[in-house]
Amino acid sequence: MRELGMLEYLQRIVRRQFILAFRVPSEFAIPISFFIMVLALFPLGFGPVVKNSGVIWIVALLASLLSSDRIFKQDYDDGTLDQLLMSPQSLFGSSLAYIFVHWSQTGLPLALISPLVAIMFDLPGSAILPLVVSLLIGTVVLSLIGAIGAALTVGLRKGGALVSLIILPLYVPVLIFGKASVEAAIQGSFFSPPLALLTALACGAVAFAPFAIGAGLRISMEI
Amino acid sequence: MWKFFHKLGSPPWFYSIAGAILRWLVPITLFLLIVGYAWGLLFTAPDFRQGNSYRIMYVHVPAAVVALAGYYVMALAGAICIIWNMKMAEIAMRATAPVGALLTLIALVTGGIWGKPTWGAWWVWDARTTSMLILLFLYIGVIVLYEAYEDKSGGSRAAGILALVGTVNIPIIYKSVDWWYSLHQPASITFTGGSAIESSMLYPLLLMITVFYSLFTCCVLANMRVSLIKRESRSSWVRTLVEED
Amino acid sequence: MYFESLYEVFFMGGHGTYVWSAYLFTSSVILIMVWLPMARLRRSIKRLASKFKVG
Repeated sequence: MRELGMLEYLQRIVRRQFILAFRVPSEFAIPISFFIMVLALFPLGFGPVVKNSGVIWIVALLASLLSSDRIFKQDYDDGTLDQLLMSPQSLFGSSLAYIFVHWSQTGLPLALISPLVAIMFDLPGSAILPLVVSLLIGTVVLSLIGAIGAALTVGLRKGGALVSLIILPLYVPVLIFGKASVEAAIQGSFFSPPLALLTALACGAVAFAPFAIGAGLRISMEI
Repeated sequence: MWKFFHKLGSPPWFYSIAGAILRWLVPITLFLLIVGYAWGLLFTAPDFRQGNSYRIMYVHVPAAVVALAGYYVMALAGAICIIWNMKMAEIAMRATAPVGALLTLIALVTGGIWGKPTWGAWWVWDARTTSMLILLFLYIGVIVLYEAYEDKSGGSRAAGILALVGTVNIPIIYKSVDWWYSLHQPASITFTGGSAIESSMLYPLLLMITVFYSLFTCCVLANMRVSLIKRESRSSWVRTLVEED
Repeated sequence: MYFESLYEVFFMGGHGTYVWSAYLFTSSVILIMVWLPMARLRRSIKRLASKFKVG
């Protein structure tokens, strides 16, 4: 067997993950349904429609949180993760491949459906673009951070609830900048500064999180 | 120089040296704490705007400063633990976590108590208070993570990674002070220029900050000694130590 | 001393409850933080001593 180049290796991982994901199509539906249903709870709980974009962001956060511990769980259980760690390819790329697939299952649909949600919440039209873009970029960071938590806890028995506790504080900057960009648009000022900061967060996360994820996976597999 | 670091990694040497340090450091620290209390409570003038409630500053600010610094100490220990796999670094990290968490709790509670007469609310959601709260959650996350692992070494390394990730998070949130309209005064002590606090109030504050740093050190060393005894209970140096008593 | 009487020290111009509760809370947490490891150390040594004597 010839040794795979990095790109081809990543393509194979991504393809495999997508095939696995599509085998259980309801998995796609879970984060979105959760997102919309919880959002619907807010007007019910608060009375007439709450004109607050922060709610959308918080629920996006929660949806990402809940799906985080499943990033590596399936492959840990059936032994694929062992194989992954034993392969000569670096974990940096493999982690990114896993996260990309996870993000396209959770963050991407969320961002694409957010214009609908914006209408549901009676947000002004100027807010829709920053909402979509900030969710697109922000959920990337959320997936990356969630993967760190998942990697650190995948070997533990009670890992699920623990992941939420660990990564929730790390989610806060994303929430701050994401919400700020939508708020800025609603108030009529420029929304690009917070969006730029959010993008900076995303760049930093993409560059550095895979190291933490790889280290976490290695530690978890030792158990 | 390297010999010193080598010795640091040896449990019996560390245990005895920590014990020797604690024997005089704890009484001095507690004494200076009382001095600081008296100075801040009784021997400084009331603030022009806030009256006497500002005296809470003499416990709130030191607790907050050391809580934040302690997180970095913990992350440093975690980094050493990951890179060099030293058992002493593991023990150091586990020792600093609860101390830092308790100091953060002090900062949060005293901050809330200070806030009530000053701003009329027990809690305000501005960036500084929020980042202190997040700091507490970060500490709790680290503690919960290493407790969940049965393998101590793996748990410490996982917690170390988490602590390092958290260190990146802290400045980001903190810098949102400029961003997210806060009620706090801007930082009144800077080490570059003059300070905005009158010097008669500054000196007791600096004393209390030093005292809190010293308290932190005492508690961490004491915690480390307990961990060492427990972990090394089967080794010969513990045996001789216990039988000496 | 900026206070005239002991009463003033307690009352602190209306802010007495706040200041003293803050200091009391801080002191109790500090005392716990310092005392707990020392107590645990003594307990561990005692337990180990009895274990070694028996064993």
